[in-house]
Amino acid sequence: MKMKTVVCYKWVVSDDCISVSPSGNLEFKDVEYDISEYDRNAVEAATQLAERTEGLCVALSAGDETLVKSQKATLSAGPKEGYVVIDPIMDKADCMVTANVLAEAVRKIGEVDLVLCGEASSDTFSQQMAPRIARELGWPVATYVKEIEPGNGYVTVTRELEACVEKLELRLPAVVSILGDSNTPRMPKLKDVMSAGKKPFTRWTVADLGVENTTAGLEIVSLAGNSTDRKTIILEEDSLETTMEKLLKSLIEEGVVG
Amino acid sequence: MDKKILIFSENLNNACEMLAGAKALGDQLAVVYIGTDKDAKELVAHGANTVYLFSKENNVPYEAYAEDIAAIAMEKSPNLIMVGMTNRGRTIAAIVAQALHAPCASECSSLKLGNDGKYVITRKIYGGKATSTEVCTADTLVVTIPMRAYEIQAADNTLSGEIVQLERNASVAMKLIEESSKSVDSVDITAANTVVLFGRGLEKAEDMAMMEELAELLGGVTACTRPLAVDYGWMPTSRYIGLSGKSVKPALYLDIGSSGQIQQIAGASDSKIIVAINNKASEPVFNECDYGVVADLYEAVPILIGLLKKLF
Repeated sequence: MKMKTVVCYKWVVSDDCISVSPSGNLEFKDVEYDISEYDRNAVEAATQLAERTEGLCVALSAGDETLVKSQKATLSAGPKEGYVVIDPIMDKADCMVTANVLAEAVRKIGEVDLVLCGEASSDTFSQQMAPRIARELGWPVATYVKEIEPGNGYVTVTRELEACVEKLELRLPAVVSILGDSNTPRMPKLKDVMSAGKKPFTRWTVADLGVENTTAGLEIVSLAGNSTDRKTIILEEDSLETTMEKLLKSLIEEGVVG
Repeated sequence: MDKKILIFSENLNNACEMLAGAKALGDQLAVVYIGTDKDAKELVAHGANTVYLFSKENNVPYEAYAEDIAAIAMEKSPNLIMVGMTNRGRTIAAIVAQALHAPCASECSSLKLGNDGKYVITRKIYGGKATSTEVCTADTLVVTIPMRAYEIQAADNTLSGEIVQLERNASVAMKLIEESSKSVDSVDITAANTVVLFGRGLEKAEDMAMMEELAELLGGVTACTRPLAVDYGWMPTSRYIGLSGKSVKPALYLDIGSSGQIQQIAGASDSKIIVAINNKASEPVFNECDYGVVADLYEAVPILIGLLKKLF
């Protein structure tokens, strides 16, 4: 059965660009954007499924104008088409609003068999998208997925949880979230990057989708840099022997050894 | 206060912990639980005014109860829904939140009721580099709470509460084919006072003996990062720490030969003292430790073992 997969990705500020100054201020330097880490695994999984079933993989995201620049990164990694919802509403969107927007976009894309998300985004790490999108669409969902096998009208997924490994059959259409490290995202070749700019890349606003509920329920009051609570004492004596002696002495003084 | 709270956890102890914490956040406490009548009575003894009880069915994953939990929430309109943060709990919390079109704050580091009657949470973002303080402006807030965030209180058998037996209603388009418990051994790393974690810096399985010796001298247990358990099969899958694995809160945590990426070290971030030993000074773990030694673990660990032997 040919599968049409939609992979939802988040376009985030690269972790390396974010730092905390000694005085505790959050700093963004030489800002660069990238596909959120686990979403890359989702892109790879979605692409593989489409390839195996001779179907179609498309990419979907919602955010601000910076999303326009995601075309090359996303469409060179496997998906054949891209859809982006760019709207000021996304500036204050919480997970509920984002899920409403993405779910409506999936409806508008149409005839979708499987929606894939990364297990969590590298910036806010809420881990809510897949279950929320599924609930909004009325589709079954499986999270913590490391393997997907396509079937006829269903997929068999393997989930990895704290205490067990679970195999589930999900009737399609369905939603899954993919664990990071569950596959190796392909390295785009030069020709993939060049052709990415020519693939269909559709832009919508929230109004185009007819989303009903766009009022966020959580409002950010403040954002503060965390100087680590940890002491970060790097021990370095004349020899490794004396360094380890100093370490042991410190741990005894801390009361965690002896 | 006049706030209604609904609590759900897969784990009875965790539900009791949240009941203890809920007292400062609301005055009408209800728990949804999948278990036995005895479990329900235990919850009442820990402060539940109402327990909505479902029987545990074989071959039905906990997520299949999400719609029933959502239905209770839609009927009772709690102001706060507290969900125990297991893998399944996170999924259920998000489904229930979406059913209510309510916000959900995942993995809160703090949760308070403001003077204006609004709930305020803090949580870590940007890989732990920042703390976001957020206020809930909606009628219902869903939160996921880590295990052991609150201290369980003694049971009080004089307390009374209503136990409502319910039957799972919703049918779900999912079929459980196979559930294999992760290979477990007798060691519960989450209960240990000292944990020695090793990562991919360890070159071969035989070298684990050195880590075991170190752990034993410290009166602790060994654990590993996900690839060593899942990909290499060097340790049972119940012994790895990380996002889809275990979280620990020991007094002493040694992170040896592992880079300490945020999702990895998050599994041990509540440890009292963290020690890092790694041969690369630029690894993230050195920003998240109390004491760090930049060295080859194959040199540092034997020295530490020798020193401990002299001590005891």
